Amino acid sequence: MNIDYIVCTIVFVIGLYAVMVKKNLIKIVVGLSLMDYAVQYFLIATGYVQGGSPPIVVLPDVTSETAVMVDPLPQALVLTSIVIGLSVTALALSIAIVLYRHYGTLDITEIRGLKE
Amino acid sequence: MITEHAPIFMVLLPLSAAFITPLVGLGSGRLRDYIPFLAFVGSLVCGLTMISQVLSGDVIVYALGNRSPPYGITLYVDALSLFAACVAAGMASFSALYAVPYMRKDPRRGKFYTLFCLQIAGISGVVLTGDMFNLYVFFEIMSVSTYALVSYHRKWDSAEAAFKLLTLGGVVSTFILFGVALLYAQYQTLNMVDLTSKIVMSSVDIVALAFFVVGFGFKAGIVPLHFWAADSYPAAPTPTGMLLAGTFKVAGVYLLARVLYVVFDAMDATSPMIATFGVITAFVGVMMALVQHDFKRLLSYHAVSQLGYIIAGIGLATPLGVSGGLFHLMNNAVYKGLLFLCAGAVFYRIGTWDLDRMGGLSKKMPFTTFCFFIGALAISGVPPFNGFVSKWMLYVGTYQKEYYFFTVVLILASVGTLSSFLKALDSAFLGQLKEEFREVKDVPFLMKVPMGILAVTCIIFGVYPRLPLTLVGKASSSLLGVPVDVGAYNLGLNLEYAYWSPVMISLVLLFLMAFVFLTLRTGKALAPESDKSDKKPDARDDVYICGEEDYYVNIGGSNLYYGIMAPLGRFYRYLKSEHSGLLQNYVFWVVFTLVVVIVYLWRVV
Repeated sequence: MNIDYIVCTIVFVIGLYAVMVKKNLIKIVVGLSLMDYAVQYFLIATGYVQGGSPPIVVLPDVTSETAVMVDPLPQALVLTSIVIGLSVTALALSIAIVLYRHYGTLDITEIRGLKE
Repeated sequence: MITEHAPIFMVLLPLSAAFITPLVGLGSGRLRDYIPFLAFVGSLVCGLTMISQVLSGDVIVYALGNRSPPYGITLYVDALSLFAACVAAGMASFSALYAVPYMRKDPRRGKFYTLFCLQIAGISGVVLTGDMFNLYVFFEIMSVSTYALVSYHRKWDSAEAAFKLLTLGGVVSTFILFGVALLYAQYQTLNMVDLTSKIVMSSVDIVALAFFVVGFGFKAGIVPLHFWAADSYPAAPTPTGMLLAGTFKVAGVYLLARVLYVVFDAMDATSPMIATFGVITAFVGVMMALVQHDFKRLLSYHAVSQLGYIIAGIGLATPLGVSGGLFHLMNNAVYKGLLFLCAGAVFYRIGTWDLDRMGGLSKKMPFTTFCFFIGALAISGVPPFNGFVSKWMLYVGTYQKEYYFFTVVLILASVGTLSSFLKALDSAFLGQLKEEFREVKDVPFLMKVPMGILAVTCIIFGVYPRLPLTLVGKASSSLLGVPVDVGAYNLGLNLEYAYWSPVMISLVLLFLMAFVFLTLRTGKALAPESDKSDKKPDARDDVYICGEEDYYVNIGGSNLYYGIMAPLGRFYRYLKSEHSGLLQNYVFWVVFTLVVVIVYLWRVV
C-alpha cells in the first residue's frame, strides 16, 4: 500500500465527513472540494513513477535521459477535473448567497422548506 | 459527409447552440427562442440517419480527431446508445417548442436557453461516448447545467432544491470520478470496449462498480437516493422539469445498464439487487405520491415510482425484462413529459400548483384535460396506451423469472398510480368550477402542438407497439449480447404464455365509450326530491359529468383517500420522517447505499 493512496483516502473521508456532519453551508462546500481534491490527488498518484521525469518535454539538464517519464494522461484528466470542480464550487457558493438572502441563515438544518 | 459525422453532430449541434443563442439574442429575442428547438431537431435527425445502419447490427465507432481507439476518445454508437440519444433529442425538441410561449414573459430567459442547450449536449454526450473519463466530463456538463436550471427562478424553493441537489450530486460525481480513477489505476485504459476485455472483478473493481451503481443510480433516482427528485423537478422551470422527470432518467438508466452489463459484465451477480431496488422504488414512490397535494410534486413522486419499473426490468437480466424496461423508459419519457406539460399549462393559466385550489377546469381547458386524461391512463398502465404494453411486459418478465412477489408489488404500485391520478384529475379538472377560474382559456397553439403530438404518441405506441419495439429489441440485444425477439407482431404481442391484442381491447373500449355516451344522452338526473321545489333549474337536473359551474360535491385533493391512508399511519409517519428535508439525512442514505452495494457485491462476486 502506497502512502499517497492512504493520504488521499483519509482526505476523501474527511471531506465526506464535512458534508455529512457540518451544518454551515460554506463548510459543506469546503467538504465537497476536499473530496474532489482527494480524487485528483489519487489520479496524479496513479500516474507517478518514482524518480520519473516530467512528461512530454525533454529537459536534459534537469533529469537524466534514461529516467522514465511519468504518465501524462492523469495530469490532463486532473486539469479537466479541476476546472469542473471550480465551476461547481462557484455555483454552490452563489446558491448559498441566494439561500442566505431568503432564509437569513447559513445553517442547513434550518433550511428545510421542502420536505415530505 | 453528414452521415459519416452524424455521431459528433448529435453532441455538437446542441453544444454550439448554447453559444449561438446569446449572440442571436443580442439582435432579436424572438428569433433566439427558436434556436434550441432547431438544434435539437437537427440532433434528432442526425440520430435518425444512423438508425438503419445500427438496426442492421453494425456498431458505429467514431474516433475523435482521427486518433484510433483505445488511445483517442471515441463515440460508440450501438443500438442502446442510439436509442437513448434519440429519445433524449426527441423529447428535448418537444420541450424546447413548449418553452417558446411558456418562457416568453420572462426577461431573463436567454440564460435559460443557454443552460438548456448545455444540458442536452451533456446528455447526448453521456449516452454516445465510449470513454470513461469523457463520460465523467459530459456527466458533469449535464449535472452542473441541471443545478443551475433548478436554481433558475432564484426563489427560496428553487435555491434550496438546487443546493441540496448540488451537494448530493457533488458527492456522487466524486464517487464516479473515483471509480474512473480506480479503473485507470489498474488497467491504464479508459476505453469502455478495452476495459470490458480487461476487467477481472478484483476487489478494487468491486469498489469501482459500487461507486458507479450509486452514482448512476442517483442520477436515475432509485429509492434511497431519490430525495432530490421531488424537490428539484417542481423547482425547475416546467420545460426542464418535464425533461428531468422523464428524459434525464434515460441517462441514469443507460449508464447503469452500460456499466453493469457491458463494461463490468456483472449482470447475473447484480440482477437480484438491482431488481429489488427497482421494486422498492416503484412502491415507495407511489406511496409518497398518494399523499401529495402539489401538482408537480405529485408528478415527481410518480416519476420516481415509474423509474422503479424501469430499474426492475433492467435488473431482471432476461430479454423480456430488459426490453420491457427500456420500452418503459421511452414510454415514461413520453407520458411523463405530457403530464408535466399539462400541469405547466394549468399553471400557465391559473398560476398555482396546489391541487386543493383547482377544480372544474375541464370545461375551460378541454384540450389540456384531454391530454392529461390520456397521460394519466398511460402512466397507470391502462390499455390501449403505451404504458400498458411496457408494464405488461414487465409483469410477464418478473413472473417468468419466478419473482412472483415482485409482480404483485408492481401491479399494486400501478393501482396506486391510477388512484392518485384519479385524484389529480378529480381535483384539477373535474368537480366544481371555482369562481375565480371563470375567465380561464385554453393554452396557446404553440404549447398545444407538443402536448398533442405526445398524446398521439402515447396512443400509437400502445396500439402499434411493434414500431418502437424493433429498436428497443435491438437495444436490449446489444446489452445482453444475445439476439432478442420480444415477439412483436403487427397486431399484437405474443410472449411465450401470454398474448395481448390491442385491437381487441380497443373494440371493448369503444363499446364502453358508446355505453357512456348513451348514458349521457338518455340518462336521468339523480337530483334529491327536496331540491325539485326550487324554481331555478340547477346542475343537479342535468346528467352530471364534470366541470359544472355549481354542484355541491367537491372533495379536496389531499384527503380523497383518507380511508386508505389512515390505517397506514405508522408507515407514513416513518416515510415522512425520512423525507425530512434534512440534507445530512440524504447524504447519509447515499453513503449507506454505497456500503450496502459494496457488501452485496463482495458477497456475490
